[in-house]
Amino acid sequence: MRGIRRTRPSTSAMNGFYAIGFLVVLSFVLLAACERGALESKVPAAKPPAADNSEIRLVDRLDREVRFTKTPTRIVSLSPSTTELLFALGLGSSIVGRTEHCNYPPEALEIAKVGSGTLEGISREAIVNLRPDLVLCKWDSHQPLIETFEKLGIPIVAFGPENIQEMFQEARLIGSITGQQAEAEQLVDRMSARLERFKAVVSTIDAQDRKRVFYQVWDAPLMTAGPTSFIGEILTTAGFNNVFSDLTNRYTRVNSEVLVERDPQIIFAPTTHSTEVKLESFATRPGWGNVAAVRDGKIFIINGDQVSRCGPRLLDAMEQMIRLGYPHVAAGLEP
Amino acid sequence: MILLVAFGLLLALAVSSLAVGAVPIPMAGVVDWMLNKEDSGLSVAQRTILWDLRLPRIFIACFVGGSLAAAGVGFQGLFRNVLADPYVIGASSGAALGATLVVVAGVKLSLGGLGATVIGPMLGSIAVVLVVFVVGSLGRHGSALTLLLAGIAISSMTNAIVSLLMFLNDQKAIVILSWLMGSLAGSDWSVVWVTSVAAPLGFILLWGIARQMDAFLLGDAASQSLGLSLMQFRMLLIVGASLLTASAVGSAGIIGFVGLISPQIARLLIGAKHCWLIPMSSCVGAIILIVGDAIARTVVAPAELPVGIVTAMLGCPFFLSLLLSSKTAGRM
Amino acid sequence: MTDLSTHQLHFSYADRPVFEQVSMHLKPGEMLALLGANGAGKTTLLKTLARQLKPTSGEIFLDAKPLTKLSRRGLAQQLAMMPQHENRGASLSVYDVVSLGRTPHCGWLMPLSNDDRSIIDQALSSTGLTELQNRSVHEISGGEWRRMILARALAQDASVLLLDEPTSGLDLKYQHDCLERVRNLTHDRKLITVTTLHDLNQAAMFADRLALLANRELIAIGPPNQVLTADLIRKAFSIEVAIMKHPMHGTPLVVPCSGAMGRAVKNQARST
Repeated sequence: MRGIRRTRPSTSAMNGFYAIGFLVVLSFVLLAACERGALESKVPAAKPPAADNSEIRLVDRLDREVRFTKTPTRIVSLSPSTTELLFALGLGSSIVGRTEHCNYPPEALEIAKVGSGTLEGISREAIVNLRPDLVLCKWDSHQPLIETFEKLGIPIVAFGPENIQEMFQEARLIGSITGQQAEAEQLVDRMSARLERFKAVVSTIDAQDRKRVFYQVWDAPLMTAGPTSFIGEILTTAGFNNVFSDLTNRYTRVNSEVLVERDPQIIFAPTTHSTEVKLESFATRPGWGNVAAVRDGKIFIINGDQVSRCGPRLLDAMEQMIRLGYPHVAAGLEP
Repeated sequence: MILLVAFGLLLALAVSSLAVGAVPIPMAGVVDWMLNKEDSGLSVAQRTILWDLRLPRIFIACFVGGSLAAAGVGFQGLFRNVLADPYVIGASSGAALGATLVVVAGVKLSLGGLGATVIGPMLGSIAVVLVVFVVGSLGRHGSALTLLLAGIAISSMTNAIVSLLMFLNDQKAIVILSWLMGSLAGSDWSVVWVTSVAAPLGFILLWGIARQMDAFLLGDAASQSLGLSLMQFRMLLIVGASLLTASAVGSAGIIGFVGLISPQIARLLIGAKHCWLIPMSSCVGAIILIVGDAIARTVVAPAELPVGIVTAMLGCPFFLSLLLSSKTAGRM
Repeated sequence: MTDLSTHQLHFSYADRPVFEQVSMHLKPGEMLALLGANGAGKTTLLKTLARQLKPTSGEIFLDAKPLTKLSRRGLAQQLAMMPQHENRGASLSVYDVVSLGRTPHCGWLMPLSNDDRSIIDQALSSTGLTELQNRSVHEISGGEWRRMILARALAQDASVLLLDEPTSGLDLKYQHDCLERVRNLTHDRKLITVTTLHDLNQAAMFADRLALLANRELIAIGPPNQVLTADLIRKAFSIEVAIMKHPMHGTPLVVPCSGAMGRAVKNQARST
């Protein structure tokens, strides 16, 4: 039979192909055969299941109805604020999986990781391997995960409070699913009382003494928080006037010119895990030298983990802001 | 023959990558599980992972890689240019538009188990390619340059619309952005049947015109004198290649590089005759994507790298080594 | 055995006429050289004969059947065109390119039969390419490329060959080589060959009849000594020439001349 008429590729190319193919297969076999560190959590298993076996139904933030026939005892949390909330409700020992960024409280660091915070960074396999009976994910960026886990029959609930009232609501929701209703009410009461104390202190500040403030979410591009975000909410509740109170988006890019024109008296910026925020850098930005906050040196760095998570520590961030912005009323903050 | 070797390698890699991932599963257990043995020694979680997560993912990697690679051969033949990739006449921007519209409008319907996030990009991709083809054919008998320029112009405009929609809907922008990066992570069985039907259709269509593609390489006049109907040929080629591309982007988002580089590698290994080049290129593309995805879900576990990064970093050095070792420089 | 004839063929690009009222009749075994100045419409006429361009009016008949009635494949089985420029970027083998010539007969899908293969082998051997058949087309010279295209046209087993400037870019040896092959094949296989040429003397040496295109029409068609006259050449090429007899072949020899040298040559011509 006549062979194919084609140009012969060079033999060294073919040898290279075979060699690399062999190496690839070999490395796969080795990878598969190797023992890798166990991904199982070191935290001992959860509490015994609740005696009450009636079905609980809840509607999550995406209007999805999720049913529970038994109390979840193996929870995977895909958001740092949710992790903090779970610990605050006394459910720390029920958490079997967390993201890389779930770093508070310190006990959280011992829980097995299932990925970073973003959608691509999360491994579905790792989550399945932990045999969870509840997965708490973000409502805005984890939709594809929701589809997968619905198909696998693992209950998944989408959370993501955008203000303090929603945070209380979600605390109560988690309490109701996990049988921690009492703890949830206590947490809400404690936080509400603290919030009332803050509001009382802030109300003593006269209208004309209220400071104009700029909250810098990010420097390049310049981004801020609008009043519809929870950061915007705590700024307003803490007695500050957000210079960008006319924005409708939660977090958006803003124009330096507008900022210079609106002349904030205080600038808050969160610490970040990546780059260090340098106070001197503000003064070097074009046009910023004349801004009141820069002139008076009133640029304050806030704990990023506290202020960027709509969780139990949000009020800590708010207290920090009041102390920095209105030091003369700080005494009244203590209970 | 090298095509058989490539196919065998593909099967071996597909099976062995079942054992690879964020959760280690022993190869012996995998083999037992595949042979349906009672005591494969795998836990329920592991079996769920294998059947519901990994196996569909590997299937889709295979089909998507193969589809993009075959479509790459098609477009490189159509434009007689080795720099063409499957997205050159607007398939990727159309898919992005489709996906964006679906997310922004909050469409939830599904067709036979297929979510809107699969159908939207597929339809968007085909729609934009259709527009480009019609506009490009208004020129002088659809010359390649007109088609290319129409593709560039319409793609740019479509991408701008996508960016605008993302800006106006910042809350949903994150979802769109992560889809655009291309990922096999969301693979499940419903998507498998789309790719396993659409991809072979497109592939058979392209393979059927393999000899016409050989003739077309010689030029418009030469191929016409051999009896080739240029209009019909171009249409078949674009339909076949676009079907392949649309099913690929619908399943996995926009994965670059595979469609560009697989035909080059295949050409260096098996030559330019299309009846061999098309299946070889598909094998190479499938291998690149299976290996790339296995690495993407393992190397920084439990996090996952975007698969496009891995395929670029994997395919490029391999291609360069082939290029430098081949004796004739102008083999393309 | 096929006849090719055209009747009152007109062609224009938009509103610019290229040629008008071209009528000719070609018989099997005949090699016609199409001559004319640049832009006179030689290639356009050739492409019209190949049905790659549509004439504005007029008809072409292949064996008394209008060309337009044939399918593309049917046309390709009878008529082979060798264009002047081909894309040399492809990296197929010589055999692959020549075997493409069989596709009008075996179709785009079916594999080559044994008959096909023997026709291809014959085509390769009659163009002297049997040793080169496995080489990539990148590795062959210009002359070998032309022979390969000729082999492909032969594999096509067509009865009409249309060649567009087959000698351009070739060395003198290969120019003659090519034209001689074409002439021998035309006579042996009783083909009809129409070729455009620039070199009038070559045309005279190898072709049976010449056709001269000028001023948008066919101003002459016939054997070389009838077409190659000083008057006609002046009309077509705007140059003064003297016609002599080729010392070896006896065909007309066109010698361009001007000025004093021209007058001397003319005097010489008159006195012989």
